[in-house]
Amino acid sequence: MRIRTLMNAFAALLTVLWLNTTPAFAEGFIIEPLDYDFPSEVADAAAQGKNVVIMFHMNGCPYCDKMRKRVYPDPAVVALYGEKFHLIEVNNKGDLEVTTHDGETMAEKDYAEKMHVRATPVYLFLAKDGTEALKLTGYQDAAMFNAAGRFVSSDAFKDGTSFINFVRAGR
Amino acid sequence: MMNHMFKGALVSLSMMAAMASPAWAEMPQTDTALVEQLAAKSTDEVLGVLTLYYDLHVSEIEVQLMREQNTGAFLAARRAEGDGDTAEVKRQTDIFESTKDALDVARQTNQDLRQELASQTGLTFGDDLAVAPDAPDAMPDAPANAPADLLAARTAAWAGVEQARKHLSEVRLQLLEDQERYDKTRDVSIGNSMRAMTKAEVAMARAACDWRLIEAKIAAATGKSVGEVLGGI
Repeated sequence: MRIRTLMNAFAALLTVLWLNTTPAFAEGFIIEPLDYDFPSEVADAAAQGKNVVIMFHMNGCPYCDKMRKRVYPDPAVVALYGEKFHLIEVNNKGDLEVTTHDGETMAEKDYAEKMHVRATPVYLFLAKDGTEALKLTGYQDAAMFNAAGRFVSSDAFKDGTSFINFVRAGR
Repeated sequence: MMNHMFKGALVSLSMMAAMASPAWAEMPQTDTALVEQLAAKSTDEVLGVLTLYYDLHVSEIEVQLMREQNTGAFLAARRAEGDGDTAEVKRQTDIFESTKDALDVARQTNQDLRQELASQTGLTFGDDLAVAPDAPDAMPDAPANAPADLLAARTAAWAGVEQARKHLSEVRLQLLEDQERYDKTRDVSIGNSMRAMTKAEVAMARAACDWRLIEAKIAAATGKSVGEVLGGI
């Protein structure tokens, strides 16, 4: 019994040390699925009360890097997206086979074309039933990215409110 | 058996402790984390390091801006090639070359700041700085015993914060409008709007850093803890 208590204390100490050495800005909401089957990803996320957001990106795109370096690590973004979203990246020029959110199978680059992605990044926010909730093109700073997260996770998009009016109303 | 378990656990503990030591520790992402690690330094030294550290925060976004300008020129040159517009190709290629030079200078400045910070602190500065320091929503009351010159600098720094914040807010909304329009009509350059946003972020970071540095100087001049004052902003 005493040994078990000692070992438990030891495990707790190791956990504390591990937490202290973990980068402060770890982004837990970014998912790298094995099969890129989006209907299945949407269902998994919905089972946890979360939405899926797809980031269409391109190698060398400075705005994509800016999102990863300066927006995803923002503590407010980590808090909201960690609780409400799974973010999955799709390469605008990639050949990886994906099952799109509406159930078609194609290469990543064809998915990007189907979604009319030109400039990157493009964020496609999906409702919990897998339908499109919001599409945003280009860089979003942390405040705007979080506003988009609130717009989708609160289902505000369902009453016909546009995202820009949602932002202007300070919601 | 128990001996073996404890030895194993002790080895793990030593490894974890080594990983948690300052040599391995993450680069300070905030000014308060930095000041905490400078406990052995004099106040003047701390203020000198803070100045460099704030410059590094601003430099991070400046490098980003230069990269965006360089990529924008590259893409514009390619579009002009596709259009067969040789004069525009030449113009954009020249812009590409000049922005490439500016990007190289910005990157070198960034590296120099990192090296100087490492040399002055003994810490490593190899990571990206993620989130620029911010200023408070409203101007806090000034300490009663602050020197007049610092109070004047404080007032000027706060005016800079308000101006940068207002501009950033306007640019952010313009970007959103342009993004919506781009999705519908594609008759607007969101590249220009995104670069304007980054430029406004550079100005905001500079203003916030200037404000925080003045607050740190006033703390030092009035005998308060620099770390506590920065932590309270």
